[in-house]
Amino acid sequence: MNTEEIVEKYENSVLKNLNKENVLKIIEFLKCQNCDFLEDILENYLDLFLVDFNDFVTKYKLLNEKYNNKFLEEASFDLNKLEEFYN
Amino acid sequence: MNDNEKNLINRLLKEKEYLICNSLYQKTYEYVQFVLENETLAKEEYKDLRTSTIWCSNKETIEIKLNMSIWNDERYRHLLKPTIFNINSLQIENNILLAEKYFISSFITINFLRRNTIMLKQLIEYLIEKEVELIVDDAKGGKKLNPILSASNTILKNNYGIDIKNIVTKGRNL
Repeated sequence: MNTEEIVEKYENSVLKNLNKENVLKIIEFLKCQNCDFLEDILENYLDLFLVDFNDFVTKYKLLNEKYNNKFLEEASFDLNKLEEFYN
Repeated sequence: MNDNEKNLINRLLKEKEYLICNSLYQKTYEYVQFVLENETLAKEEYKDLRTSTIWCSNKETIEIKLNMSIWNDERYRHLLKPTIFNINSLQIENNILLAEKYFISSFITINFLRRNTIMLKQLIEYLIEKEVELIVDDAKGGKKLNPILSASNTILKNNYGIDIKNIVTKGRNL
């Protein structure tokens, strides 16, 4: 999927509020957590990168505890689980 | 935002501290007030939409989304989740039309709304061609969308042997 196809899925408010530094920090964090579906997240959950990095890490730790340290694995099987970041 | 403005906003959010996050202080006092006092958002069926995610949106988007006619349809009420404000309205409508075409409307999820419409269509067509059910039994004796339609591309490839990029490329070349 090209960049245009990705961004046209989102409201302008999402695209306007994306902060490059925040996005990069979250990407690096997910890479460190051995996330193997980063491309899916970038394509389908670009708005997840709006979450402030520190809030993201806090929420991730809570979710990972909930899913017995397998949150990313569970989310890879069912991407709907990523919606829990927004609750 | 200066401290005075922050204090005004914090006062608005008294007893709603769960809505406070870093994104909040990038919004205006008027927007925060709009979100907290909006009559539609106060209704029972919309109450789950008021999360910190809403601070990433704006008044116009919220009003347009809340007034989408699809929410009058019981099949789609379960899709009223906080992130609905982040997904483009046309994207939502296109994927709902796709779901209706394949008679899976009642079972679609937020993730279904987020996926690229063309990719989803080609994946659905592929599953139909392989005689894979789009709706399957769930653990509670009901029905649910086949998990294949909610899986990441990595899982599609590694667990189901489905190379979605290849399928999409072939589809585009037809």
